[in-house]
Amino acid sequence: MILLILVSCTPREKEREAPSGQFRTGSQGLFMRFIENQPPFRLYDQEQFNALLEIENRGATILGKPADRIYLSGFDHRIITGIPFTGEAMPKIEGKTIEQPTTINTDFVEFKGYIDKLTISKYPVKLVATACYIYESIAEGTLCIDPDPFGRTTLRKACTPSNIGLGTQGAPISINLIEVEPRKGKTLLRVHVSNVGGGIVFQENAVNRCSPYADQILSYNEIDLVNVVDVKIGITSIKLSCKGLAQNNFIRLTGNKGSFTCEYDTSTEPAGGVVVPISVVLRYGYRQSISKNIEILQTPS
Amino acid sequence: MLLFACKQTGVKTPDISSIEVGTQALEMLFEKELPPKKIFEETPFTVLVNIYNKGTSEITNGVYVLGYENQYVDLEKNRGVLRIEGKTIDNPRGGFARIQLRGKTKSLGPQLEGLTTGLSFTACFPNKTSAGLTTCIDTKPEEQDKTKECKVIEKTYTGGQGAPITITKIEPLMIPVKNGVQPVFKISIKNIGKGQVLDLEYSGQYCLGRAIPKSAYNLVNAKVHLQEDELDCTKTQLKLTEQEESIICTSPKTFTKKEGTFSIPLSIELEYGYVQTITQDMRIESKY
Repeated sequence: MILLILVSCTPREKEREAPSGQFRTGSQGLFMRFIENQPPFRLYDQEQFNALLEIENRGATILGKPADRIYLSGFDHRIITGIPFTGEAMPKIEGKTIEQPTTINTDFVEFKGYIDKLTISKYPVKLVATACYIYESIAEGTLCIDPDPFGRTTLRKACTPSNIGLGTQGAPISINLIEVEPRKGKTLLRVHVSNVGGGIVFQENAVNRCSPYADQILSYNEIDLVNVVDVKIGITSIKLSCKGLAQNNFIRLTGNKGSFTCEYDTSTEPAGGVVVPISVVLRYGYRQSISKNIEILQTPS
Repeated sequence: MLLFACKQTGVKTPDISSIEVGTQALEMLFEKELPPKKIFEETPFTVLVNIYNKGTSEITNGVYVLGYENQYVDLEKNRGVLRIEGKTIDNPRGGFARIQLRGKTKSLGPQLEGLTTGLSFTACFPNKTSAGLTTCIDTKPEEQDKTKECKVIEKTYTGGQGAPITITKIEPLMIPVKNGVQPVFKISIKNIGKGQVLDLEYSGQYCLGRAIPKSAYNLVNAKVHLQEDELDCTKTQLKLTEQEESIICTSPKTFTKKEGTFSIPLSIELEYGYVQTITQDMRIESKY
């Protein structure tokens, strides 16, 4: 007996998932690499020179603003000629978005030159590609506000204030922790920031001095400074209450870490506590570089 | 249908760095039994010397001479011109020459049963050490950045540059000037070889038996270039001793901060006369 079971299956239309909002993740902004063989490890003089870099935006902020540039250095410009001291403009590359939280957009930057005649038989070079760009870190979370944390009440509280661990935000500077200290009538917030990208962070206005060919180097009062653009509880900015900021605006990082404190007036909040959104926005310049060792040989005569 | 992908075995690109090493100039060897270790009086003999140029300098105006004791040995011809190619990328082993000389032992006389006489083969030639090195120009020495393109550090060289007079150390200094640096280099030089260094002018004369003034010994001419710019050195002629000798060379060109940090060729050329000798004893026996 043949039992025929016909099962009709109609493919169900996959339910469209609502965006989770989890696109601000990761500790990198820009990622770049030399394309293999561009240039090759070994070249000869009196030949064209080509260096091709692949640029990925692994973060959540757009790359390719007017000041964002990539420079190639490490060699005598009288030997590898035609490579501009002003670098090449970084192409516009979108970051991760809420609609495309896992998409990493890429583009390419090319340096074309010519290798002049060598006066020695072998010229080893450490080719360095340096990216200078302006980036943002935006941390968003929820915060429990209790205007009277130690008061005697029979009210059942809506939440209990606790520290907020934020991880990374799709950027090389991360707001990794907000310590919450509730007091009567106000809540103190200590915001902890780290440089997790492996590069050098500096005040965004100094981006012109990021270049390896700049007339002046980044000074001590430009390096390791991160601009606190805003700290908001709900729609209320509490930035003016923030202390521990250099020049009233900047966190100074020491050993790649820094923090600052802000205050939120909770006197008008409901007695039983309330969960509110919190956001912290930082802006900064960032420099990171990669290198490739090559050698240029004299063409045998 | 089977497709075989044939992989071409990798063609090895000659490596220049393996040629520009070593501390030898010539390697000279008497061929076995030429001259013989023992020979009778009044007997012809041949001297065969194999000469390998283990250095990178081509020998074009060299002279050789075979020294002998005239009372016991006679030679048809005992000197000549020496030309041997140095090590190159096309000939990484260097050139080779073979010198053949004929002679005859003389009569010892009735009273001698035998005696030992020496033959010495000497080569005299102008030689050159050409070192193509790289050094670092850092126009912002005050900037402490671990990812800098190169570092201004002292470099020592132990393997030689394909010649007996070698550069053993380079100490660079970036002297700050207005909006940049002026590079200065302390270059240390030493005679690692076993031969005798002479002023270039006298190299041929040594083998011709002419008197060489004391002041002509151990003199080396030096020229240093940073890329194509010749450096101003404290001495253009060094007197070598058993220790290292140094010269200090300054770049006439300054480098501005706008040029960044980068590697740059540093070419050092040392010119000198060089004398090498090998000897062999020959025992002459009486026939009677």
